[in-house]
Amino acid sequence: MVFIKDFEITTGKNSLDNITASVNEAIKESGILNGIAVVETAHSTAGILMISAYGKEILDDIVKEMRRIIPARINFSHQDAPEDSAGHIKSALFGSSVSLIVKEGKLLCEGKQDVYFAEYDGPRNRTYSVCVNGEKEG
Amino acid sequence: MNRNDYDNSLARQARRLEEYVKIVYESVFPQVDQLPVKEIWDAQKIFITGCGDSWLAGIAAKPAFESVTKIETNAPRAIDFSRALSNKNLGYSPNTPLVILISYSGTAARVIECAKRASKYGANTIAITNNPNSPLAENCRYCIHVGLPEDGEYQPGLTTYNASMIALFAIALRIGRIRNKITPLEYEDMKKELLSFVSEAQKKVSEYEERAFETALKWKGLKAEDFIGDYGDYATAFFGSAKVIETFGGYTTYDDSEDWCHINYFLADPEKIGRVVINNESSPSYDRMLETINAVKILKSPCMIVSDAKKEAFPETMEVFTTVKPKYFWMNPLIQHIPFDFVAGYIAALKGETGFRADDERYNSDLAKNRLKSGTQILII
Repeated sequence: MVFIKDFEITTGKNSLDNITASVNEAIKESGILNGIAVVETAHSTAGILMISAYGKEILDDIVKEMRRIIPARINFSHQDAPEDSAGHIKSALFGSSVSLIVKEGKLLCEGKQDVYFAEYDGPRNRTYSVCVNGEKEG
Repeated sequence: MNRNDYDNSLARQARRLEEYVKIVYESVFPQVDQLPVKEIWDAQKIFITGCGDSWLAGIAAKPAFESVTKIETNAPRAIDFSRALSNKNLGYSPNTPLVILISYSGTAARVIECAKRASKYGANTIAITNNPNSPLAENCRYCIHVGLPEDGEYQPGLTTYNASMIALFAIALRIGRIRNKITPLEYEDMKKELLSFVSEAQKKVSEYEERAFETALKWKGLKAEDFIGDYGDYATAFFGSAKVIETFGGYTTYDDSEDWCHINYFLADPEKIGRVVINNESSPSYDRMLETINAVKILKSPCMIVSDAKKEAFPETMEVFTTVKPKYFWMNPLIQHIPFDFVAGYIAALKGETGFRADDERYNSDLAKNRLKSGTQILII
C-alpha cells in the first residue's frame, strides 16, 4: 500500500524546522506498520535533513557551517538574489529528500534523530510530502 | 447633458488601467530579473530622471525605492542631471550610482544626454523605454522595454506614466530582494499586491468617472487649478497640473503642503480656483496637509481631495475621491491620478479644446513639434 500526504510550512530565514511530528502523523494516518517513509520537498532552495539535535546550538552550528561552506555570493552564474543562488547549491548538495524505515508503526530513528525541513533562503511558504509505502499488518 | 458625448483620450486610457498595467507587468518583470546581481549589489545611490511625465514617474517611485531598497534615491530633473549635477556623484566607488533613465520613445534629447554623461563617468545605466532600439537604449548599459502595443492611444500621457512606474517598481523590488532588504515572502507579496491593488482600483474607475464628470461640469468655468501633494503624492499633484495644460491649456500651479501655505495660499480670487489635494493616511505629512486643507476651506475654494483615508476625515464641503488603500503605501501614485485625469479630460471635451492645442498653428510650428525632443544639441560635461 502507498499513502501520500502533503504538508505546508512557512519557514524563517535560513531556518531548520523539526517536522518529525508531521511524518509520524502521516504514518499513523496511513495505518502502515512496516515499510518505508519518504519525505521530500520539490523546492529548489530548500531540503530535508536528518539531524540528531540535542539542543538549539547544534542547529545553529549546522546553519552557520552550511553558510560558511556555501556563502551567499554575488558572482554566481545564476543571477538571482545571493541567498537564493547559494540555496540552489545547498539543496543539491545536502539533498531534498530522506528515506526512513517504519517499524511497527513508528520511525526506527524515533528518539535518536529527527526530520528537519531546511530553508536555504526564506522566509517562504513551502510544501513537502510524506509517502509511506508498506504493509498494513506485519 | 450626456457624458458619452464628451468621451476623450484620458477617459479611455483610465478605463483600461488594469489591462495596460498587466501588459507592462508581464513585460518588465522577466527583464528586470535578468539585471546582473553584482551591479545591483554595488549601487550606493540611485538617480531616476526623465522629462515631463517620465520624470514625474521617478518622483512617484522615489518612496518605493527608499522603502524597498533602503538606498538613497534622487529624482533630479533631466536638465539638472545633464548639466549641473557634480561629476563626483556619477563615478565609481564610493558613489557607484545606478542611473535609471526614462523616455517612452527613447528619443528625448536631454535624457539621452543624461545617459551619455552617466556612462562617461562610469555609472551603471538602465533605460526604461518602449523602444529597445532607440538612442536612449543604445546609450544605456541595460534596457527595460515596457512592452506597450505600438498602436495604443497614449496622448496625453497616462498609460505611459503608469508603464514607467510599473517598470520602476519592478526594479526597486529586484534591488530590495537582491540586497536582502525584503524577504522572498515580501517580494512575492509586493509583486502580487501590485496587480491586485490595480484590479481593486479598476472596480472603482466607473464611479470616479461619473463623479469626475459632475466635477468637470462645475469646474469648467474656473480661473485655474492648483494642486497640492507631498513626497510621492507630489508627483500626482504635478501630473494633474500637467494634464490641465495638456488637455485644455488651463492655468495651473502645484506645490507641497508647506510651501503652499507660504505662497499659493495668497493667490487672488480663491473662490475661482479649483484646489486638488492628494493626502493619504500613510503620508508622513498627513497632519500638515489637514491644516492646509483647512486653509483651503477658509478660502472657500472649490476643492477635490484624493485620499486613501475615509471621506469623514475631510470637510463635508469638499469633493472627496476615496481610493483603494494599498497594502504598501508607495503604490498609491499608480492610481491616484485617475480621478483628476477624468476631470481634465472632460473639462477639455466640454470646452471643445484639442489636446496640446494641435488645431492652433502657433502650437503646430516646427519648434513646437520638436518640444518632445527638447532641442537637438547634446552637451556632455
